[in-house]
Amino acid sequence: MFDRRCLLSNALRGVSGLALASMLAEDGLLAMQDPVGENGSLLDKSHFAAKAKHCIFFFMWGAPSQIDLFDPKPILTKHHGESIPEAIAKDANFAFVQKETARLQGSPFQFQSHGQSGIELSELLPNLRRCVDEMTVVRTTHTDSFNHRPGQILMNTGFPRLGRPSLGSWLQYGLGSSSRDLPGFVVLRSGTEVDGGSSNWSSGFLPSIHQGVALRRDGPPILNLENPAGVTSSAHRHSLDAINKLNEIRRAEFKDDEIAARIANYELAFRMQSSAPELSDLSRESEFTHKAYGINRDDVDERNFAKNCLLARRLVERGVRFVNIYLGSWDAHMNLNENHKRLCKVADQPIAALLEDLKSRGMLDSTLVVWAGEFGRTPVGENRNQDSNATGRDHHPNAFTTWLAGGGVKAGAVVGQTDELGWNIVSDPMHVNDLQATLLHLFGLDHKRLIYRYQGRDFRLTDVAGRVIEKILAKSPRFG
Amino acid sequence: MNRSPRVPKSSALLVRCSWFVFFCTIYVGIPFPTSHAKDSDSHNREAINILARHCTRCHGPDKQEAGLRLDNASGWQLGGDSGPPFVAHSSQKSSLIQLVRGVGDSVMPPEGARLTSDEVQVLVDWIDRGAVWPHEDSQSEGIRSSASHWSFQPIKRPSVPSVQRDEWTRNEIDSFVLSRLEREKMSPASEADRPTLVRRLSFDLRGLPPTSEEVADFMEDQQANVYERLVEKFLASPEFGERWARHWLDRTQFAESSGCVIDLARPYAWRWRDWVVSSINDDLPFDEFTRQQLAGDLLLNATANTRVATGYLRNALTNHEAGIDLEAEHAKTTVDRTSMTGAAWLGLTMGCAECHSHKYDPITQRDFYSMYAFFDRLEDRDIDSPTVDASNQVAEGSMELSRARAAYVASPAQGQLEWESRVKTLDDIWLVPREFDTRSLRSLGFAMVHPKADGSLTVDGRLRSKDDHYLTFEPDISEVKAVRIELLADQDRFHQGPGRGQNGDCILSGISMSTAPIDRQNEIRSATFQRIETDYCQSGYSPNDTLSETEEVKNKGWSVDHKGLSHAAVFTLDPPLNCKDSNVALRLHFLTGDGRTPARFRIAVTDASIDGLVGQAIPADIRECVAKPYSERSDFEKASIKRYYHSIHDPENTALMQWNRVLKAVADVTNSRGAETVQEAWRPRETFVHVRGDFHRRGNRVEPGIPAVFNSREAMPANWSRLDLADWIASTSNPLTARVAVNSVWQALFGAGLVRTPGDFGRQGEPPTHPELLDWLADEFMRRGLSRKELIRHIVCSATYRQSSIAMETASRDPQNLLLARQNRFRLDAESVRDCILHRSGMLISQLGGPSYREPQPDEEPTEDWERATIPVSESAQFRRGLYVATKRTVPDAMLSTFDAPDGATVCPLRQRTNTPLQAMTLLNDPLFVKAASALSKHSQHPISLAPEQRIVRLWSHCLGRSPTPNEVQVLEDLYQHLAAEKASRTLDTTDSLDVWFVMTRTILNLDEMVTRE
Repeated sequence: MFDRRCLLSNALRGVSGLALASMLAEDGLLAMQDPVGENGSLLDKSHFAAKAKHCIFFFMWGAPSQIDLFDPKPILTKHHGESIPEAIAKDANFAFVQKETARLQGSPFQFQSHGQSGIELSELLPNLRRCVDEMTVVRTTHTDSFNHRPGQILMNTGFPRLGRPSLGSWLQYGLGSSSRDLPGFVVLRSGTEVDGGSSNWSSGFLPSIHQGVALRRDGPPILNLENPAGVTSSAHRHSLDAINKLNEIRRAEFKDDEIAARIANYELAFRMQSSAPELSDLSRESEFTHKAYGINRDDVDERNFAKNCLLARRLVERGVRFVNIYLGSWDAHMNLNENHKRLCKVADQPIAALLEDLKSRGMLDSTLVVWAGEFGRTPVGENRNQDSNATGRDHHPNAFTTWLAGGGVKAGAVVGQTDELGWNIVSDPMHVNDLQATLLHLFGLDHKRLIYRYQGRDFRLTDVAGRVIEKILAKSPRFG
Repeated sequence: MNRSPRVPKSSALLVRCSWFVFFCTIYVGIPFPTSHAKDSDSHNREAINILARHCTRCHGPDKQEAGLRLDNASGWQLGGDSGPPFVAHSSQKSSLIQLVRGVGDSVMPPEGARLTSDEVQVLVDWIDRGAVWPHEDSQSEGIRSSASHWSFQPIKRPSVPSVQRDEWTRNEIDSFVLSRLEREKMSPASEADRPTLVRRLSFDLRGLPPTSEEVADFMEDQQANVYERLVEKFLASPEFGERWARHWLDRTQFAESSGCVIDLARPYAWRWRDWVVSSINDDLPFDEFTRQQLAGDLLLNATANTRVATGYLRNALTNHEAGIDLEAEHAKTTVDRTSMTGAAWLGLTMGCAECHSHKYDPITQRDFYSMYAFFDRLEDRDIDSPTVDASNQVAEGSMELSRARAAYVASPAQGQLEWESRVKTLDDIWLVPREFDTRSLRSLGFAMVHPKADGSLTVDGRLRSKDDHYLTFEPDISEVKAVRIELLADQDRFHQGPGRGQNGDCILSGISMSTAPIDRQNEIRSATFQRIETDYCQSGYSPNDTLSETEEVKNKGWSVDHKGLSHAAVFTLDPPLNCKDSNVALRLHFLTGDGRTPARFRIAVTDASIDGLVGQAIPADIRECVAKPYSERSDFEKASIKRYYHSIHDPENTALMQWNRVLKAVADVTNSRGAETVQEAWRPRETFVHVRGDFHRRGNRVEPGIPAVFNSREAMPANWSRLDLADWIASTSNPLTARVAVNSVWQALFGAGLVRTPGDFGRQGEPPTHPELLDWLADEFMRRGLSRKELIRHIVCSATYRQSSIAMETASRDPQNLLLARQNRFRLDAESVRDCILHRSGMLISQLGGPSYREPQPDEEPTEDWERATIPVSESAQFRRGLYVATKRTVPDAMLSTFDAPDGATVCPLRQRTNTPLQAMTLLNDPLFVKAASALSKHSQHPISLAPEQRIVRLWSHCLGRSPTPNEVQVLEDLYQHLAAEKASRTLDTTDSLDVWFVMTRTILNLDEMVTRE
């Protein structure tokens, strides 16, 4: 009478989240039949052929300096120490730099060409250089927001104020989850907490089943996974069976499908209780893998970030749609050299290892990797405490570098050119909304058609802007 | 496997829309169906068709390039960013004609076929004839048609319909509902059983489950009015206000952090929350509730309490990051306030009109900025406001103070008049800047700085232990030879100033000043201060330390410590600072700590020579008083001068010491608490339409006013104030306010409103399911003095409300229950989930009002700000109601947000009600709920003599307020048998413990029914 399968098939009727329906379908319990979400029916196919199925998005919050990492500026170095050209000073707006005393500041780091593509990288990224032929480096990203929080929210949600769904939520909303035992949108953090906190992975006005689930740094990766003391695992299973049976009695009386969804969710929660610890158990990974990612490095930040990179691959392997990895803060108004050296040491090796790992497992073709901050840093130096060695750079929204790899992205290319000082864009600008439109495109979605009606208006990730940057796309699909 | 990407159906609609526009551009006449229009009209229509053909693709319903819309009369007349495209009767001067001819730099349309010369001629003729838009019938989707939308019509009381099954009805509400059901040949559900009713009523009115006694009483009481008496009891309980305040907080995006960039704590935002709770408990009529929140500072009988009510407007998000453009932030906050007010009271999505005229509702961009203008002159003001408890002490203290003052001022001090005559001879050499660059006027510690008409700067808001103040101004002199800094008393505040330290003390620890020509900002020049002269300095401190930059004196300086008394210092520059056509930037450091920062101060500069500066270190208000003949001075002025004189010449004077003691004692007993309020800024501000929502791009100037659809602009009085706005919103002639308010009450009692889009009563929203009932309730609400309790009482006493929520066979005919043939069954709100479990476990602490509590979230980085805001609260605060869990906008509480509590980032007229696996994990394992289950399981084991079956029944009834059915008992007995067997088999295994009754309790607490209101 209380067969679990019977409970679950009842559960599918009227379930509000889309993800659940697909999980159950994957379970083989039910054929996928025209699932209907609460916000209208869904397209039965994507807008275009999808190239990417998963995304790992590295959010380098605090804003890394493109001039010291990806966008070499020899002319700037030549004019190092000179005052800002009037044409620039006129309209410039800084958070902290005193315009009057500001000086151009070349990068102290050496750049070299790498790979067949000849993409130039700074000496701060000695490992990433092995991967340049997989990457498209966009040197002309620009944003509207001059400050961290709005900039971060804009990069994640397409709009600089709180309240909109983030990219991962939109993807999960549009495509559903493809993981049976895990949430479809997972957030990994290490180091300092990102300024905007969970508003960066909010589902906004989309149903909260689409919000990013932030795994914890230590202990159980998902909150409240562990049964409390006094509850053995068999007692827990019996208890869940009783809960489900009692809920089913109520469902039969009230004919309320919400109870069916409740039953299904207790089952998914139960699966996550076992899948999540398995996910975070890295002991099954080979020693080679551990070493490649740098899991055992001495520094705790280095270790945690490496662990997150490896976790990202494991999440994608298990079907998770969108993994967001945060690292910061790159906000180096002072001591930029030290700050960037340290964070590059944290990030460079594991990111390169992840790209190579994905490639060798044949996962890179369907996994889109993105690396971005909320904006870049000025070619002008900042010197706050009068120590001539402790210089930094201010916020720079006009032109900064992001890069993409895998998932239908051109292999080994540079898009866009900035002027000789790195102040403004010369060609191929890519607004943050353009980047978002392009990412959705790679997933087979038209950013103008992935919409949600809320408060009397149709909303989309790219707000009222955005266009797909064709130059980023690989000419032929990587898989079909 | 293949997965299908999904996108909502409405995308197809968008596609169709753009095709529609495309067709319109091809087929002449589609937007304007052939009619029997008059001849003159057909000429006009020809012109319109040309516009439709060539222009509306970019200037039509879908897009309004340059803010211009050419598919209706109002768009044509209002024009776009650069004004109307035509001058009537003068095609020569009409920009439209120049553009379509392409005579200037640009040509329209920018792409596609140009207009033929014949077409241009039609437009020329049309404009020369006066450019009359064709006959009214042919206006497409203009203001006129949307003004006829139901919600903009006056509320008329419909007659109560007659019904066949009259015996079912309990009041008028039921007649409206039943008459509709009878038309559909449907019957209402039977009345819910008693356990369900008492539980439903308790959750709906108090947000808590009923106590076991309440359930028992209700079950046993056989009197006819037992239900009504229960309603009265719940309405009168303080928990009623806690529950219903939360609905209002949702609509008004309440949170206890600033949002945006640096998500600072709002340490006394709870004052406004408490105001809402007590207003609702006191059943403050809704019009008064409205007036106090929108304009509590402007009311004739304004009190501290009505000013606290304006804390509503402080719910707008604010940004505190360095380098922000304060003007831009002001605009954002003002937009937020405008949209919030539109949503909370009027149910309109006015925010759409920030950037362009509303596409669907009759709200033009001009209307939006007219509303915006009401809030444009607001400034935030954190006041000291006594809590209700402290009010009496304040009154007593003020009387004592006046008595002491009267005794003190009986006669001038010895030598005072002689000193006064010297003061009178001082030259008037000071220039007080009154215009500050608001971008530069700021405090490093995020305090708020308000410029006043007298040039003084009042500081309130956030108080950090140290602060730095910056200001920039343009002096009208060509060189600065000296600067005067006044640290000023502030009689308007309990605190009295001049500093914000414990005793009104303030220490200026450093000063720096620089200037740069306005046109050459790179040529920066720094001032060198030679000496400082003060009228007074606390002993142990040396004013000269302010001039030193060395590390060891950094925390010393000019210290004043007289509560309620101003002092001044004069800094001499050598060489003088050339400031011709220059900006002067001044930075004042207050780095000594303990909050010894200024409460009010003023600066002045002079180009008078060094000789003229002797004796000039004296506050301007003292000099003004001294200029008055002695006999014309008020007691207050006499006291001020005498006290000032004593303080600088005879600080040990016994009368003075006595006076100081009284002053300090009074300030100490007031025990006032801060409150966030707003007030009108002193500085007038003109409001302009922000073209495309960009505040840099000024469009037409607007005056404060309401949207034209509600009143012709001509009929509106000039100089409308916020109070007029509040009166208009609250007036019985406003068609929206009462409907929106009634609908939100209905929503709280049925889980869905009569209008199911409570945030959108416009044309994109859903129409009411029972329009007559909505209007009848709105009218009844107004007739009964806008009493919310009356309205709620009326609804919960109806037969409609008391129906069962079991979905019978009728449910398939009406799955969404639009016709109300049953009650709705829905999950409790997040706070009630929490409160319910804590309540049933006996852990809930009921304590009305006061500061909020916030549990640090897992992995959250602590900040000084939040620690300060949460530390003083006791450990047990975590067992208070969910209402008292502070919302931090960027890091919401994990438990509450898992159950869809709003994060306060935007208004939330309707909460989502999701159902997720994370909710399951939270109810199973969240530490708070584990504590609750544990406490309840211990409680359930007494008395020890009970058999397991009896215990199960007791526990079940305790949690769910009803007896279990035999089936239900059986399931739990089976579970008990499994657990008992496992426990027995594990007796020898000490490492793995099993707590049988804890598991049993946790099982029951996790039932869907536990967190559901049926």
